[in-house]
Amino acid sequence: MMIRGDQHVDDWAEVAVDYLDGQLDPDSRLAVESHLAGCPDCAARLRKQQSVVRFLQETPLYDPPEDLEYRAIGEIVFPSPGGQPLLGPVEAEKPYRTPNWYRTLRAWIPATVAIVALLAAVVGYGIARSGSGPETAASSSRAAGDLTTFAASATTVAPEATMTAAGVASTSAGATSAGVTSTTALAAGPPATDAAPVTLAATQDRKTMIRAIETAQAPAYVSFRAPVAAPTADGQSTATSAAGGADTTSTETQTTAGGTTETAGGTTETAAGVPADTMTLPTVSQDQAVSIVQQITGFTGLLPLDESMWLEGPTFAAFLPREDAEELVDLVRSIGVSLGLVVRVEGGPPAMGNSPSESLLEHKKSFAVLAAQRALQPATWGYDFTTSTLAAGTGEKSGTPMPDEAGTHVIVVIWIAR
Amino acid sequence: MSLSPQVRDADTYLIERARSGDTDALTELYRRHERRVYNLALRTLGNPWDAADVAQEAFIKAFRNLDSFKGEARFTTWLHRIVVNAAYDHLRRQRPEPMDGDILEGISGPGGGGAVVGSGRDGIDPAIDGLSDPLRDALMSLNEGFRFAVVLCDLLGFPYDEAAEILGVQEGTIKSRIFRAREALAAALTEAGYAPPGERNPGPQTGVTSQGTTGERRG
Repeated sequence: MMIRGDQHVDDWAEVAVDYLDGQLDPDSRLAVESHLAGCPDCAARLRKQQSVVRFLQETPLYDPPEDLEYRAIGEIVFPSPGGQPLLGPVEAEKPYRTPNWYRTLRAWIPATVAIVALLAAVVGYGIARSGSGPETAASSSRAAGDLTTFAASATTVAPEATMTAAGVASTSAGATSAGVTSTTALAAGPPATDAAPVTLAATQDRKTMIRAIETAQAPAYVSFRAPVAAPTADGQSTATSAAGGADTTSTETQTTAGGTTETAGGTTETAAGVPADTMTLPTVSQDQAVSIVQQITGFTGLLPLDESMWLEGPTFAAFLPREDAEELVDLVRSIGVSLGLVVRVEGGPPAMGNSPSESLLEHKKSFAVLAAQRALQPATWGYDFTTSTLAAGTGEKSGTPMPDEAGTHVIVVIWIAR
Repeated sequence: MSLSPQVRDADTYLIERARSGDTDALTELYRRHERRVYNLALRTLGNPWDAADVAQEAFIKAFRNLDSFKGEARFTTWLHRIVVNAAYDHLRRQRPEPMDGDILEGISGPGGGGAVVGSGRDGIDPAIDGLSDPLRDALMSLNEGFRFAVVLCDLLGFPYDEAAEILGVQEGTIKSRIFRAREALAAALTEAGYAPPGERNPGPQTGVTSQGTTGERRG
């Protein structure tokens, strides 16, 4: 391609778009660059294009309103009396209630079932053991209730998912003697609250978090915390945000408020199984902690550190290329939102007695490198929205010197404050 | 997060199950797409009420017609084409008169100007709807064809060829549109004090902002 001296970017806008995407063949790129070298106006316009593109790409998407799901599929799932079924042979009287764990599980089932199940069993056991006595007892009894719910709901989901979920449960049951706690915790699944109104205290802006990690001098500390529920007139939402595992049922109640009596009946039954004492102080529940660990490991392959290096709870650490701060922030924020927890980039390690953060940093030679792997959009069927994913590992570069901690990389410590 | 290969054709799997009456599969199918569909409607219509209405309408239409989805296009393409058509229809309904700049301003500008048009929600405090950002105003100042293209490609991350298929235009048209739309957005954002530092402001290209209608829509 040739660009004549009098052909400014308006004459080759399509080429300019490809140029900004890095999609031009070498000849065309050379033609563009040689024009830009002699044409400050076009060069300035392309720089401006680039900054607008970045601005747009960094603009977060909004969450759909909570009632949209019911509005969009309620009529199909629950045809009005006398109305035509909108799908084929809709099963009669099936309550509209997709378990929340199903949604979250699906995302990471394929590659990581075995390792995550094993891990969850071990970590779940550790969390249970480190918890206080009464709390553990309470969560056990609640977990028993959840297991019943789980068994009931498993019959209503796709056979494939049921099979997989059952496989997960049995794997972890066989993996440890802490069978009861860990298995039920996993079966109860991540108590996702993304449909619930959550009162988050001190939530950080996404861009602030990204900048904080990009520019961190010391290790960057990222915490998962329970939200401090602000007292509101709406007692329901306050309790919901604070109550961890209990909120799944509340959420369902809200979502299906317009639903059939069958649904209402089922929900009530479930809610009755939740002890009232879970509606007290906001803490990161065991279920939530297990879910965070599962999701971080499932999405990145990163494993939690040895318990001796934990800060206030299960702790991860990795070298992160600073340019991948955005991917990390998006991941931890999405996990936090799905569980109704606050995710923050902290100014430093938590103040603790025996200064575990020092011993943590003594082990930094063993930290993995957590980096975004960027993939092209799939050319065929695909869920092609995001093109990069975080993955831990040393890859082919194992044995190379430690990543440049001060310059290109930063150590990121992620922990669950329990 | 991008999904692993095993999950990539989850849409196909879920559609099959939904066609046979599996409502959980339908729910899952909905949840996979709700975010992008809603944001497409939100960013092209400019307010969350209309966006929710249009997203609802599009999903119902798509799910009622799942049987007519033949798998020749991707499901995302097919679905978003329905959303785009529903959004265009909504804009038409709001604006029975031929579009002109003043009326559009009345639609898009919360508290901005005189014309009370459409749903009567225009007087609502923009802070309430969570969309009081300058980007909204900048986007709504674009002509529709440009707005849909830049929202699909730059905000929602659709590849150009898929965006072209969704909008029923050539891929080259998409590219030249987003180029001009970005320049117009840069100008509008700079004016609102938001733009990243630019060298100078060449001003929007003729025809990008809403001085007249663009011709094409669905194909």
